[in-house]
Amino acid sequence: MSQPDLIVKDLQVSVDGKPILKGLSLEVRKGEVHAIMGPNGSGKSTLANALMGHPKYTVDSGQMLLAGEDIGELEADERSRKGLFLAFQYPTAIPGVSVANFLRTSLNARRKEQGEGPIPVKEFRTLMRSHMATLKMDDSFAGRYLNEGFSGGEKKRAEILQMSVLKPQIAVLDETDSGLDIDALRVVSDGVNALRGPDLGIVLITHYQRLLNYIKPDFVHVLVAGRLVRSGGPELALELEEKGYDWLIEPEAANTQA
Amino acid sequence: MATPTLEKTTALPASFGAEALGAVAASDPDWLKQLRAEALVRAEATAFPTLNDEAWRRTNPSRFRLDPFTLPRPGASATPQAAMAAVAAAGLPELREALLVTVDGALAHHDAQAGLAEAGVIFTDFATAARSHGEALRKDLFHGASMDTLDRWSALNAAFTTSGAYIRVPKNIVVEQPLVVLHHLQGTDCAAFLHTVIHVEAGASVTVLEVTSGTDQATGLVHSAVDVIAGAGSNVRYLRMQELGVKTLHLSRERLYAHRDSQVDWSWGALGSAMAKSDMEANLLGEGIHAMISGFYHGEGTQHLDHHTFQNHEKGNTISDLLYKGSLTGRARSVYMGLIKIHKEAQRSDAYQANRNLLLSSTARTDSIPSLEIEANDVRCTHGATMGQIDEEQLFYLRARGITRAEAVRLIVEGFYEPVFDRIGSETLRSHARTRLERRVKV
Repeated sequence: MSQPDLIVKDLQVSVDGKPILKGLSLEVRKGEVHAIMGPNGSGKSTLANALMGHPKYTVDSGQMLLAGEDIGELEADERSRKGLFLAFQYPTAIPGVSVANFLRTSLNARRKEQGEGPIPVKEFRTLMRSHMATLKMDDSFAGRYLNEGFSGGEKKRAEILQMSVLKPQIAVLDETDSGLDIDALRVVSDGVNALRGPDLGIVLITHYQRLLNYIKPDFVHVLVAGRLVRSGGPELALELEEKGYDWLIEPEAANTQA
Repeated sequence: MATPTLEKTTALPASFGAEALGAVAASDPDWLKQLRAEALVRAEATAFPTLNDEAWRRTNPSRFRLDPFTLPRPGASATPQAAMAAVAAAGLPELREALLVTVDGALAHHDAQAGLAEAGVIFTDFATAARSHGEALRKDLFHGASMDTLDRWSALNAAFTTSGAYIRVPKNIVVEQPLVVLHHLQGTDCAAFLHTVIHVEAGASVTVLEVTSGTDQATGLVHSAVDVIAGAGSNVRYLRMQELGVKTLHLSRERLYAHRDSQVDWSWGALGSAMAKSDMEANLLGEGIHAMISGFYHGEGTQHLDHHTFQNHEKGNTISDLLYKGSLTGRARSVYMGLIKIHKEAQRSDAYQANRNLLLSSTARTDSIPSLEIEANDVRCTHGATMGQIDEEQLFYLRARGITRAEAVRLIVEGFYEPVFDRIGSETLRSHARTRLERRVKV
């Protein structure tokens, strides 16, 4: 079997001096969908942000390799251009910057990295519109300011739209189901499933099993108190749905949490 | 270094006396010679502002001294080549249907389609207007204000007006193409006084772009006076761009006189000069007026940009809506002072005033002082000022999409200004304003 496309080795991450991830290891290959589930405060979003290189998250030890390359020292924009994508739990509003302008700028940043010129305006418009149609987004959406005044569903759809246009190698989806009603969840899941395939590895971070009814994972990992305490197949998610997380919280970790 | 001026001084340097006046006025008609003489008397009788004047507490008036400078000697530099170079530098090559260019205070280029004159539209430089349309210009200068009501700098402008433009659109005439006026300064150690007068008669409609530009080598001081008279029911779209060179000082006095039911879309971009102070008044003189006033500025290095605005509601059922936004980097500094005044009889007025600042360096500085003076009791008014820095979460979000830090900052800054550009109704003016700002903001 080929070398994993994303390797996280014994990752320890702290925020404001407080350790959150305490030795997390994970391997993801393109074509696979890994779900990472865990209770609140277990470190799910810390994993997502640390992978993307958010400056507030300090990597104390461990390694992150993307296609064999250590990305630990790279800035977020370099990681992105190398094919890593994070769909944010709470996408930030950028007033005055339209969805189209932003998308074209990010796509061109990626093309520049690959030695290509900027995408012609017409070609870009066609590309964007086709992805927007898949996500059932109105054309007028392209002219709106990024995430400003977006509903929860619109924000998450906009994240998946970006993922569709940027075509990452590895995508980390942080609580993409949070704040979505059932219709929006279906549209977003359809969007993710449409991108699923041999060229994309997905890390699906979620608190609830619900999302996994729509996006079927190949692997399920349980994150508790900064460590993956259990890994398995899709059946593990169902077990969690039934039993909750308590049975997996080690006494030692439970103490730390209290 | 300039030292703070606390003493009132009335003396004018010798190079701004009767002799200089005689040279400037040499080819003027008698009425203008007379008016200039009255203005000089007024200038000599009033004092320069000092740091004790509230409006000058944050912008040292002694930086605006006349004695290092002389009036420009127009003529030699006002060549067609210089005009075209200035047009290119100011980003105006696409806007040449109706274009008037002065270089160092002398007419250097004038394009106007025959249709304009046939419709009775006046679109000419100040000196020509004084000779050919003297009676009309005389009434429109300073909206007919008497010389002895002017402050020192305005009186100096009236006395020494080097050049300028006169635009007059007759009743009910709609001018489709934008009228473009460019004043370009490239001389050294000159004090130039420019006066632009725009009178849009009742029911008429016009779009005007006025640019004051200069080379970075040019030194001196530019004083601009602008009078825009919007007649009853007229529709005026006006953008003024200040793109003077980095060594030039700039003072300006902008006045809007809006009459009943006029719609005015006034915008102002301050991008150049070493130090600039603009004093803008929007006078709402009749009912039913809607005035949009939009400003954008960007300072870098040691630039100092000062804006004073006055929304003067003399009559009711009027709307004035002001938004000024600026970004500053390096050690640049901005000052904003705004006043809304609603007179007693101006019931049912809506007046809004907001000043937003984005600081792009830790050494940039901004002061913002909005204020209200309301004598009527049935009004809607808001005012506010903000200053902030680039948001780190916004930056991370953009970088997480592969956009470099510099590019992300540029996007955020452009986005910051977008609400100002959104307000500019004319597509031509909006895209010009946006392009010039984006060209200037290098972060």
